Amino acid sequence: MKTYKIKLMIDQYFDNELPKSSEAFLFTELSRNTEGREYFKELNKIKFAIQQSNEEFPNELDRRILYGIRNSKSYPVIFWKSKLLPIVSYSFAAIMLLFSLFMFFELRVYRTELKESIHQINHKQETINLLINSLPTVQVESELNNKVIIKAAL
Amino acid sequence: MSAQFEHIIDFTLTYNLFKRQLLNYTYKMINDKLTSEDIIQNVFLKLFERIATIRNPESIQYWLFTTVRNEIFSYYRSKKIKIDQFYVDNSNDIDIPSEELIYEKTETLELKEFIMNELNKMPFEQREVFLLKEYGELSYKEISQIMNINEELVKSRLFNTRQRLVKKLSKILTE
Repeated sequence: MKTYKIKLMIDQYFDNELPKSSEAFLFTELSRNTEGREYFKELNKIKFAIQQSNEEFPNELDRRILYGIRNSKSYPVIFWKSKLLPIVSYSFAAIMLLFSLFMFFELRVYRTELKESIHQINHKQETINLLINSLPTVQVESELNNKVIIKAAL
Repeated sequence: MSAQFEHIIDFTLTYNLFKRQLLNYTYKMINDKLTSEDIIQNVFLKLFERIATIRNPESIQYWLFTTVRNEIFSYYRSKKIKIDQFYVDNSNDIDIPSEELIYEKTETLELKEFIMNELNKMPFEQREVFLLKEYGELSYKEISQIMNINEELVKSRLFNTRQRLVKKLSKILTE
């Protein structure tokens, strides 16, 4: 394997970006590649030096920032900004609930009216039937007064 | 739990998680402790005002580093510092100073100071990627998002920076 690729892998290893499955392969390659090993050692030194140069966060700055936050007047804005969407959502839900209830009661009224109308129609139908049945019966008679002429077939 | 209380908890957790990385990155970027602290203070105050509007917790890190970068660039602009002021040469060829100078350097400077000195001589973009990686403790992907560059470019810039440092360091140590 080329030294360049090994060096790239070493970089990734130190950056915690090398897959675990490739680590064994890297160390096997390093055991055979002197230049790679040297690069690994040097990079390790650099990494260590950088870790050493990492400074702790000063307490004074902590204090400055936290006191600065205490004096911040941003709460109301943040509160309304953060709560605006839930407030709108809940209001919309409440309005929809009230509208649904209104529609439900309206529907009930209409249903009752419809039932009454059907009942009235049925009643009227029965009345009509009774009226029709109460009429006198009609007799139909036929009149057979025509002469019957019989002719012989000659 | 009141919204105000939740807000303070969110902020405190984020603050403790990122404060050291941000300060070290800023400090190494501008080499001025007081200005770095001012920048960090401003950024965290801004964060406190806006944390509730950042809905995705994962984007807080992106927001913080982008805001710090912008503050650093504003600082450069206010001081009329050209970004490529640190630039010495863009090639990977390395200038090795005279033997006496090297000896003097190794005698007087610690390794970390040597690294910082060498970094300051590198092109700005290379230096920034390196600092975001080493002091910001970000992944390749996060750096590429913050700097708005390709992930492969991040890898190559890091590799070039390290190559330069390693070459210079090994040269000095062998002398």
